[in-house]
Amino acid sequence: MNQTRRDFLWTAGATTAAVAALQQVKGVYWAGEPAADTGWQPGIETQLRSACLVCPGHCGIHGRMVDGRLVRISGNPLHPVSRGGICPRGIAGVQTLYHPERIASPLQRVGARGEGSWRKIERADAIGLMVDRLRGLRAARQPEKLAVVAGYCEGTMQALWHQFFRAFGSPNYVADDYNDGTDALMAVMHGIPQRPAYDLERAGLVLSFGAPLFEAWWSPLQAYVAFGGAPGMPAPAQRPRVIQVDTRFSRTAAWAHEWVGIKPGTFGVLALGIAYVLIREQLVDADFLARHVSGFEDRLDGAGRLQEGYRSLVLRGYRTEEVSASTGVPVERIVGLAKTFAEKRPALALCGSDVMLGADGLLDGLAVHSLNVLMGNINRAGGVMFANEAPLEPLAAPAIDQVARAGLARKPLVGDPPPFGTGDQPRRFAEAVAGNQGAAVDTLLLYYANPLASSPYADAWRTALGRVPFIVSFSPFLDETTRQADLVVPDLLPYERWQDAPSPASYPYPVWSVVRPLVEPHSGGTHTGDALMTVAQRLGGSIARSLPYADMEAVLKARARGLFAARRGMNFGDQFDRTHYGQMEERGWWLAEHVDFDQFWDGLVERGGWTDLFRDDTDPAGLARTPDGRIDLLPLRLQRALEREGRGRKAYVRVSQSETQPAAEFPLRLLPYRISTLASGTVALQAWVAEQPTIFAGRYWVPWVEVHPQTAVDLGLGDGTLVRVRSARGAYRARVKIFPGIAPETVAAPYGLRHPDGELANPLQLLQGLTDPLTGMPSWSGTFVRLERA
Amino acid sequence: MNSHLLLATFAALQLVAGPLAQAQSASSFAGNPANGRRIFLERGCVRCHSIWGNGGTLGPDFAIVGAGRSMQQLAGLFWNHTPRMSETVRRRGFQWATFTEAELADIISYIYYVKLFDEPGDPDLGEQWFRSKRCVECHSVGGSGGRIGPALDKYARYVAPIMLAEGMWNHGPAMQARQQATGVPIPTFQGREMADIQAFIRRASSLRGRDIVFLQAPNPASGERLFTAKGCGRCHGSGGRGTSVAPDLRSATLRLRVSEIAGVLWNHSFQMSAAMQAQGVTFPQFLGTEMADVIAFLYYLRFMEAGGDPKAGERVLLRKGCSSCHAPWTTSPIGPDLSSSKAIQTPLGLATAMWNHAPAMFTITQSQNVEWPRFEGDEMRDLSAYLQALPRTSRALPVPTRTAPDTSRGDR
Repeated sequence: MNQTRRDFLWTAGATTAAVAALQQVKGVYWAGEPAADTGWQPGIETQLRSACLVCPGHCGIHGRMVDGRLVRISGNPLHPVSRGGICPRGIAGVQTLYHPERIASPLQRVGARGEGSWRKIERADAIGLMVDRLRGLRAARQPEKLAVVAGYCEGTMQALWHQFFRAFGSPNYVADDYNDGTDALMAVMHGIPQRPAYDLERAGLVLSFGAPLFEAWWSPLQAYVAFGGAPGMPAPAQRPRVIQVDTRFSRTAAWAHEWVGIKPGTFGVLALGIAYVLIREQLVDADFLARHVSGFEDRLDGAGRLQEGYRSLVLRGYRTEEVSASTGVPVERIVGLAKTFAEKRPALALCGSDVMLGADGLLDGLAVHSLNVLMGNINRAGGVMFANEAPLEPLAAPAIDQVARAGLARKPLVGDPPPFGTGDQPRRFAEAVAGNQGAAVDTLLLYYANPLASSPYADAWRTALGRVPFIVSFSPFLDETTRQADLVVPDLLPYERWQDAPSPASYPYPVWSVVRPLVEPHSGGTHTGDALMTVAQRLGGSIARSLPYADMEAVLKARARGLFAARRGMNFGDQFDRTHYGQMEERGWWLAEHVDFDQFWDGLVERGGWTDLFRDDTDPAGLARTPDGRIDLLPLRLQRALEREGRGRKAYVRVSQSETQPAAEFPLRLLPYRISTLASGTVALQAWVAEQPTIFAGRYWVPWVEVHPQTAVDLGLGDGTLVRVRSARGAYRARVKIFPGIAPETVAAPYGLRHPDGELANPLQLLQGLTDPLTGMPSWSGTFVRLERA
Repeated sequence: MNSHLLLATFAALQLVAGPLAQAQSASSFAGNPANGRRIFLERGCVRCHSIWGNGGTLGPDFAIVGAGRSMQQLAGLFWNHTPRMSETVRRRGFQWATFTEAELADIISYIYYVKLFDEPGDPDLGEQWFRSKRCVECHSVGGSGGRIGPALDKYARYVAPIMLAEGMWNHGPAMQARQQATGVPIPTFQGREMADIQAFIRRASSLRGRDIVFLQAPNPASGERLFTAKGCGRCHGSGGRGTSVAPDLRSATLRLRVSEIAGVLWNHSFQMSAAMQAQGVTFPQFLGTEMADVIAFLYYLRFMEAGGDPKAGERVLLRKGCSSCHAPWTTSPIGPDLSSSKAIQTPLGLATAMWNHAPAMFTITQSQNVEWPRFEGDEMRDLSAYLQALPRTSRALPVPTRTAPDTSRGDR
């Protein structure tokens, strides 16, 4: 038989892959004969499971290595959320791992800040510099002058930071992560300060208010699996209907069964218009409301005065004609939405970040979520749930000495939180440091935070960084903020290190994925977790006692003992396993499969993680943890906060309310948004991701701004015209994309893009500083701009 | 169980199956369900068969077909569906799954075991039973109900009804005396009523922030020890086979699930406590999951039934036409010599050998236009007893007649 080299390679590759798949994760020797004349040598292939840390979705991944080099990342079918799916950013991890601009060793600044002059130093020296600095702070009894800005950081790594800061004595841990404010919403209504999770798979209808389900939601893969089935599996027989309420024809709107275009800032009004129809037509779950909800009916207060309840408030204030005029959604559409919501039970109303990131974000969110309460769709199949945490073993109890106690008693630099939620901590921190003439912070640690590129308040950050004497960055790349550092201790990439990855906030069951090295770590990199523990050991005393672990793998293994002891849940498994364990637990039984912890741990790492798919939907604590145990539609605490505010706002948004109005100078409302292939500025490192098509075929590499055709005509702009998008705060360059899927008075701009030369194109840095006073969260939709030819 | 099988099972259980396995290894309970589940997946059974509707739909759901059958009946059932399965396996390009004796024991044990676990009850029905059986007059749930007995909210930590059943059992004599004194009829439980009441308690309970307790899969070997230790055997006989004063528990628990068996126990507990009191014997109390283990033991009584009637087995041999293909009855055998085969030395060994060779035998029966022999009821057990009693010989035996001697051994 004549076989070409191409035939041979294809056959050998396919065979190896098949054998490897059969043998799961064992090493497979590629047994082809070496071709002596070409110098080609056969490689050794391995396959390992891990988890993706690119976004909070934490999908399961499957790494394929040849001769120890990562050559492909695909999805892990055993992962209960992503089930074999993976997004372009996850796949592009290979590019990040082998990126030529990766920092090759620890660096110490030698020139002026930001000048870009560095000298390479040894890891031990870098750690020594940190230890000396921190020892000085402790000796001066100023531990609170240590601060960290932790970007995307969850799970055990976050726990380690908290533990270190408690033992060291600083209250200045600043979270610069994905905060959509929904935890504040749930705290107000349910007394549970936790982000809501959604049982999408068992829902009959998903009415999404601006949630970018298939783009940049908590877990786009969760949404894909719920609506389209797991990759390679038949689509689920019962798929929920999806209706996307959005200010533009987004990618999610394109995937949905229906798109409802809406005026910006009126999501809450539309929700209450739907509530009006549900109440008037008696389509609500009256039994649930009577048993579990307060604030629905009118009541007499302590002084005998009649207090209007939700029902009266809605029936009086949100007639469909008025709601239609405010939102731009026709009356018959509002009625139709309400009836569909009542018919396709269980129906979910999803509150997206577009709702919460508005000037009335919390009130809008209350209105949207009240639809779930009206239908009794809380803590039940197809409903809104509060996910339980995986029963991990806690870290060792922190030891707090006298110095630490004094430091922790000092007021955090982020200041007082807003009335609800944690608010915009990075902004408050930056402004506090920038506004303090002295050095409020002596040593600032940057962990996956690049506020000079990602923050809407880069100017405040620039000033703040200038006031900090010593800045350490753990970034593996020289991003904008890292360039301002004095010391860089580059972290390993997720494909080289041990870590964990909890389930995305939107998933209703606990998931604990293990991130494990797929390849040998870069010789110049240092696992930040390991660095933290080494620093703790070098500092000694109570700090060392608080982190008594050899390395990150040891921490994870120690924590996994809690899972083993819990006698519930399962290591990741296929569909049969998941269903089987679920059925056993539904019946109240659990079948042990591991003789001892070591066998359990090996299985956990081999399969990629642990999950527990049982949910107790009879526990009243899953509905509300308010003093009276009832969900509160009109929380007194909120009403008092609104009274204190003195702006005349009431517990639900007013039908005629509009957060801001355009001025003649800036006539177009700016709508920044996230899409799946973009993140907070790392896209320039991943050329392949920058080339991925968005909703527009042929639109990539160059940042764009979406403009309605009529607006383009009025402004004399054509498709591709280079413009400057300008607000009262600043401007950036982008190319016009003429797009009929947005309203004429708005322009939309993706967040996270850069020009090929690295110039930032961040629409958030045009925002005019409008915030929701209740949550302190910035309004993304309250800024107006104009377009100028560049 | 012969020593080899015992050893093999012991080793497998020690390696793989955790506490359940460790407990079973020392007993006469063949097979480990946890191993069986793994084999069910790895050998591809799941492609055609399901458990509780989870898995393939081509073959029957094993959680349904396994109900109330002994190990050898299940083995017979496996055998009977060989022709259809052989065809399907061939058509779909699958490989015929073969098993070792221990593996077959594991897989059959798994199929049998899953039937023990109740589906969750119906809370609406539970509420109805809670009222109609007048539990509500003495007990409260969610703040509603009587105050004579303890509130039942704490049982909401459990999903399975067994802990409720255990609590009832332990307080049974006192509770029943009180009921008798107040003229309240003593409730009895049928079918899934106890599971329904448990579901109602979970729904109505005011217990908040529940840390749900999942029960470890019950351990029949531990149940056997408890059965003896608690003195149950004094009346019900060793192995629960009944005596003149108490019934045979094997038939009482046939085809029942945990809550149903718990109901049966409860229903006769009043009579039992009175009889025990009369004899000065202490009424047994259960701790932790002891009752679940005893129930598992009772459940497994039927499963482990050994013995068999060699005379009946001889008739089976005749009827099924085994002697026309196998030595020592024929001088030109197509199949192996059953008198010298090691496989026949245990019932499970026979079942394993038959299963593994089924496709080859099916091909032969088809080529010779012979009808596929099927085993009903206890025929497999009887055949096994007959084959085990055969004299080991190298010469041909005469084809047995209906007057063959009775070589029965063991009980039935």
